[in-house]
Amino acid sequence: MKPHGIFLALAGLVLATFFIQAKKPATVGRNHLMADTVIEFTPEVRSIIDQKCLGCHNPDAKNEKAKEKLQWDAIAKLSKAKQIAIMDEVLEVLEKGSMPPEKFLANRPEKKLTEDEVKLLTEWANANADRLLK
Amino acid sequence: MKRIGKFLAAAVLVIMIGIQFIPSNIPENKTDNPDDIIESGVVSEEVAIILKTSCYDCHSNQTKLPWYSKIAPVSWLIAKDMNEGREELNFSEWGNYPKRRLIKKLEGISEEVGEEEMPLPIYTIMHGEAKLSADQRKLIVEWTKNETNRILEN
Repeated sequence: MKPHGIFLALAGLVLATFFIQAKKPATVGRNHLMADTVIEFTPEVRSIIDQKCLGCHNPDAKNEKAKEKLQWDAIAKLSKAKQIAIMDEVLEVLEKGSMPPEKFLANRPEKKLTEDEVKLLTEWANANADRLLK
Repeated sequence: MKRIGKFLAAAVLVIMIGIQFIPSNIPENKTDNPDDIIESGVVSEEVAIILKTSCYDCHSNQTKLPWYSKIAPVSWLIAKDMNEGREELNFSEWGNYPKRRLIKKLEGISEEVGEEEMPLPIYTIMHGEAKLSADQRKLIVEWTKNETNRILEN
């Protein structure tokens, strides 16, 4: 009986550890507490922004108006309302095709957003706005 | 010299008359605005009065057009301000804006009014009653914050 008992006890311990692991919340990736108050970037979206938007919308840019209107890397510090407002503005400029601006594109036509990029950014901005509004 | 003077005067007159025939592009007013913010009842009487007096001429479908709005080139400036104003923010369409747009517009109003950029000085020169006092600005900014919170909580 004794060896069986020990075996059962050990088996019980192993099973118990499985249960403990299953209850632990996933810490890889997003922090669920933050998820509804901050805009999240996917790698694809981040790449588009880095290539086509960050040139003007960063704290060291020459364009004062662009700097004032939006700085991508400072978004997380803004209020929920301001972040929602930015997502809506992104959607509006994508709809109108007004960003990057024509004047800028005249010398840098490669910076124009492709149809796929517009679609991706639109879906992303919509999803973030909806999530923050819940 | 007198001849040149007369000629120039005549030329100016011809130009002034001629430009009256260029269409001014002043947008139309609408008397029926079911989505109007004041109609919806979300603003207090105080806020409604400020909106109507200081904002509605550019930011609604109910612009009060003075006699000089029919005379070019003033009519062109008025048309530009009205068109841009309505496009940027139209209180008559407030009920049509999705929540996220409302939040954006409220942020914009808070900034522009708080920083005294709005109403435009060129407008308040002609419309003294539209000038906003510090208290009125404070009221509007407070209203935008409260309304934003109300929208976020619903």
